[in-house]
Amino acid sequence: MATRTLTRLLADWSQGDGEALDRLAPLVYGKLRQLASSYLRRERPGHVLETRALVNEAFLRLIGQSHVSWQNRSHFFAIASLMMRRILVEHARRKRALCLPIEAAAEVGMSEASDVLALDEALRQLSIRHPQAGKIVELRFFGGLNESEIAEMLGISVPTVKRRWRFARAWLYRYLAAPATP
Amino acid sequence: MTPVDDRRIAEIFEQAVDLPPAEREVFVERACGDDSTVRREVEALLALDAEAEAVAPGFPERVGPYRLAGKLGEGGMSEVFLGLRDDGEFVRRVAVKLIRRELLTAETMRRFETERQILASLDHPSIARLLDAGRTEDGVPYFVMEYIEGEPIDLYCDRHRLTVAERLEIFRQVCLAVDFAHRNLVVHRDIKPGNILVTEAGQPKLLDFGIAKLLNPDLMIRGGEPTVSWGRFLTPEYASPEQILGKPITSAADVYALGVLLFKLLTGADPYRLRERPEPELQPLILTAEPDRPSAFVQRAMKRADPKTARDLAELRSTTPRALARALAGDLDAVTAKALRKEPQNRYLSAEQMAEDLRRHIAGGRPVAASRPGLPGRGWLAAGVALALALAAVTGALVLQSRRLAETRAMAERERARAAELSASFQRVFAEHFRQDFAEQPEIQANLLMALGQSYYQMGLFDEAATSIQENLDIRRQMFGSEHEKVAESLTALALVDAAKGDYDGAKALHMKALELRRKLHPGDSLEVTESLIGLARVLLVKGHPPHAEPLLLEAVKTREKLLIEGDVRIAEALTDLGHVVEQLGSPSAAEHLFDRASTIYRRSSDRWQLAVSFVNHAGALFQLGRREEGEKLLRIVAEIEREQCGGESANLAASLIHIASAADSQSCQMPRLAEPHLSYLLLGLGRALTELGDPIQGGELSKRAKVAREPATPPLLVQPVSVPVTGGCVPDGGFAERSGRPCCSGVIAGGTTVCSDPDDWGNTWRTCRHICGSRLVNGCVPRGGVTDFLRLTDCCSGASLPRSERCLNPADSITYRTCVFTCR
Repeated sequence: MATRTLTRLLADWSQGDGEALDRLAPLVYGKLRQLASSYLRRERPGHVLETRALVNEAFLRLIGQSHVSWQNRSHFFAIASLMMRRILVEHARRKRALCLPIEAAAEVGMSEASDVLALDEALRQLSIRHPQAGKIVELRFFGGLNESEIAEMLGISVPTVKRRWRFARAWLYRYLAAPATP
Repeated sequence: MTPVDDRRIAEIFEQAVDLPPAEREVFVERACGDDSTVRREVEALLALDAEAEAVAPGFPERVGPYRLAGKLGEGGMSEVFLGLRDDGEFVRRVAVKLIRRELLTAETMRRFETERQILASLDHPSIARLLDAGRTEDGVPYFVMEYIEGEPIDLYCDRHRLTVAERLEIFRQVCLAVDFAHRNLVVHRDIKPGNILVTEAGQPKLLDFGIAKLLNPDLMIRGGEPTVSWGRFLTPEYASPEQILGKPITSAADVYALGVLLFKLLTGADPYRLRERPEPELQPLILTAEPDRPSAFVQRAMKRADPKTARDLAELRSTTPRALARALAGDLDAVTAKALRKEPQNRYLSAEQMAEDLRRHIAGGRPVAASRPGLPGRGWLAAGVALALALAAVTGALVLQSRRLAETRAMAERERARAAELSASFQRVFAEHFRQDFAEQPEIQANLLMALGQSYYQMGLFDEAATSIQENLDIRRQMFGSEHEKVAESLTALALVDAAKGDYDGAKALHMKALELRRKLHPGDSLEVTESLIGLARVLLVKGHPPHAEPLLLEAVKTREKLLIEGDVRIAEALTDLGHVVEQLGSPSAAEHLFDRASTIYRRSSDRWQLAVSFVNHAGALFQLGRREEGEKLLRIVAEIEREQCGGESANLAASLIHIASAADSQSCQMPRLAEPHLSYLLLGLGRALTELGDPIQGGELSKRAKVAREPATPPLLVQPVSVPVTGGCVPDGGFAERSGRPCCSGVIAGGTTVCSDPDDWGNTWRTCRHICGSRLVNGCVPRGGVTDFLRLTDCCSGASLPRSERCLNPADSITYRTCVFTCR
């Protein structure tokens, strides 16, 4: 598929065209999967994944450098984060392996007790009750986006991202420690 | 919990989290009112948040062009993060090392600036590259290094169950990488498994080269007292004695750490079992205790009640405990011992040497290809080695060592000193072995002591040689009484050592004692007696008493001609000595005749060196007789032999020239003016060389002539010590650098020891010297301005591009040695 079409789809999606996402996702997903699996093949216990690098690489391969606005780029990252999460969950289901996105491992500190599946479930629960907090975690963990990128994408301020991130983190901690409580 | 509750919880949490901790409680209490469910929830989340914040990485989001994505690890001095270069150009993964803020001092920063360029230039497949370095916006220094996906070398070896040989191969690569860095003036100072990662492809990669030095030049341990706790700055297992004592750290510290690493790879433990000891015991152990031997470690594990340890150990190496112990005994014990010596100067001179030893070991101790006939005048030594061989053969365990000896013997001249150094390490183990193993068999013990003494002699370790031979003498006296040929043999050996040390009176007394004894033991004609006659005569000649020497040598020649078949080289030996004496007594024609006869015999022998020496003698006599053309013809043959044997320039070639020169001199021919001062130094050097080569007579004579020739000449070969300010790190040609008020000889490094131990002069002088001197190396000879001390095998500067020290450790190159000593002292 030509780059222009992809960019077009991104733009459409960001304009609120839900169908654009449906057509976009398989492309991103396919490319990401291909990249991720090459990394995952080399995984070891305790292995962490640099999701940002993967997403970035997927972006470059799919769209390249040409004339892509930041907006489009961040949309791509938003999709990619979602895809990345799916890929990892799928991979974890198959292998029950401990392979976390690097940020998740470092910041949630669950490399010992938990795995992608537990995180996925916790994140699902979080997203039901606190959609924006869930989105922040997803973008940060699976898309590797930083605070200002997330702020821009979600249209909120950086301090809000920070506060909400802290909330999400505490919430996940609590859920992962005792899933039934909240 | 209702969705409304959820929203309230989030709201209250987010507000509270912005408040100072002290005010939160009051705020939450007020905000929640009497809704205890929400309050309990918010408080729980805030507590978790506090916990998370406490451990959350307080690192910047970006460092230079790199985005930090999580922590890879942390050490005492720094934290390492995964860095991603994601500026849209390409994705590159790097390791970013951030220095701990509390370590930042002005000194650290200064060094940081000056050294990072050097580190960045280290380009070697086994060294993780330093890609970049700088400071963050907050002024925290950082290093950006190649990101290595691998695991620590010890774990890698265990996980793959690598055999001892495979482990050695990887370890050797590490040694070569360390050596590469050393040659680029970078000392690691913190070699340990955690800093050596092996990739899945089996490629070892060293991390953090030179960084330890940058970060804590002297704060590791100061003045013998640890100023900081162990765990933080040093890995005790890998710390060398000098690091503990706060002495200057050189590449020798890395060699030590390599020794510990080798021990670890072989046995899974460290040589002192430091991990099992309380902290106060560590320092004394490292400073004074004998390191364990790898084979002994495995053997003990086998004997212990729990044989499982030994089995596990062996299994990780794909072998059995017994085979493992066998594989480690001997060479590998010796290599580790050598690297772990307490004194830096006694360790391997370079990591490359260590690698080379291991290569030889892996290759099965095969003989060196580049062998050539032995040096002249060394029959005694050859016999000694043969003896060692014969004896060692009866005791299987020692065969390997003796093979080393034989190998050493056969080595090419250029390799000899290096090999001797190696051999010395084996000797020590050797000595240790047989002292214990043969305590019950004094005869074997005595013979081995003799062999040991002879090897020491060969290496120029005269004091050690004397000690061993004296021990041998004591045992023999106890066994055989004072009147026995064996005792005479020991006395003779001691006499040779004394002569080599320059103690001619001692040598004379010993020879006389041996002669007296032999005359008594062997009435009538005997070869033993002729040996003592020649020995004594040589000493008398050196002491300037040729008239006393003459009758002794006449008797020796007569006896040998009688007892030996015509053409035996032992006759030629006696003829040569007699020739020297009559030459001294003023009868050049008689001398010429004697030398001619000797040459005739040597012509038929296969020893080309001996023939060359004989021709030189002969030529000298011919010059004195005015038969210049005949003399020169002989010298041309000599030069040819020398070229054929060692190629190109060598001290021997110089020796021939000296003979031409000195012959001309004695003829009162005017030598070219230029040659005059050179002559004295060349004579001095040659004199020493000949003494070393087992010809003290000629050696002493040349030294004497040199003294005469030298006065009152100013030494033209000497470079005057100049105190020129070092500009741009450049030391003037062959001269001295003075930095921080400390003089510093140009050559610098000696066997991994910084001679110019000016801590501020890290690398500069050395680099310059290498630049100056490196280019001038001709065939392993050190040009002017350098120092090489091949006897002690320690000091060595300027000549070679060190630490490839063998280059300037040319034993035949005494002339340079002489010059260099003068220059640099």
